[in-house]
Amino acid sequence: MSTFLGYMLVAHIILGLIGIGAFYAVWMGLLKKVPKLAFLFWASLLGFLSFIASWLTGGYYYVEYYGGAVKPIIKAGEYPWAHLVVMEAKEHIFLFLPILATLVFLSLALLKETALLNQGIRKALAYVVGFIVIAGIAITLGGMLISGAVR
Amino acid sequence: MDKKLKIVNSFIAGAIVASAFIAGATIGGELYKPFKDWLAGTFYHHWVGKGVLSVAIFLAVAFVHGFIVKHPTEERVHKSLLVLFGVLVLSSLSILLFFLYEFKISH
Repeated sequence: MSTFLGYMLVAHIILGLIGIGAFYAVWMGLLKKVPKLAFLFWASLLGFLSFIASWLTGGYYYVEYYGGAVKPIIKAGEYPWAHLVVMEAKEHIFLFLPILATLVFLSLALLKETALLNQGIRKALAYVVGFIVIAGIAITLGGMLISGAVR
Repeated sequence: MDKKLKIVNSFIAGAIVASAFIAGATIGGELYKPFKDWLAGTFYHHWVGKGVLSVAIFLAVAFVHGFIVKHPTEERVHKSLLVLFGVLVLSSLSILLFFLYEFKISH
């Protein structure tokens, strides 16, 4: 693997973790008795930008390197399910995240206090953000498992 | 606020349809190879194709929805978010269970 692809992979992981951390902060913020709109806005913006950047860097690595160099090794190894189940599910469930990150950021940016004062909207938004965090963690763990399956 | 509720509600609708599309295109592409091949041939890689199309659907549905639903209420936005959450859970489980099933029958 070239140095550039290595940087892309590392950037994908770090940016993804920043995105998960940012949305975890949004999730916890929405569950607070008195959420702070400014904090939720900036955290969701950070999460949104991180996921978009993680998508682009990870996508480049995946399309240019993973399919030709990593996938055949995993499929021929002892743990083919690491690609056939975990990677396949991970790469597709990941596609939800940039769209959801955009939606959460737009909701907080446009609805402002309404998103927090209306208990129904706030709770439902917390469900969606909770999905982002849980899916993000599952995807991260999947990535670690896939890395282990190559060795 | 009415206009902002309308925009948010439209983007929620876009996210619902895009999420369902991702699950449908993922499973459909595995069951009907010509579709997956078309995605790969048109967008360089099938995964890139699903990503580009899901974003296009997200934006297009939001745009069209804005013309159809004129005055959404806060209650409507609340319910739309709950529908989105349900679609996300179902779509994710469908993708995971489909690949588990495919692996099971091929090994």
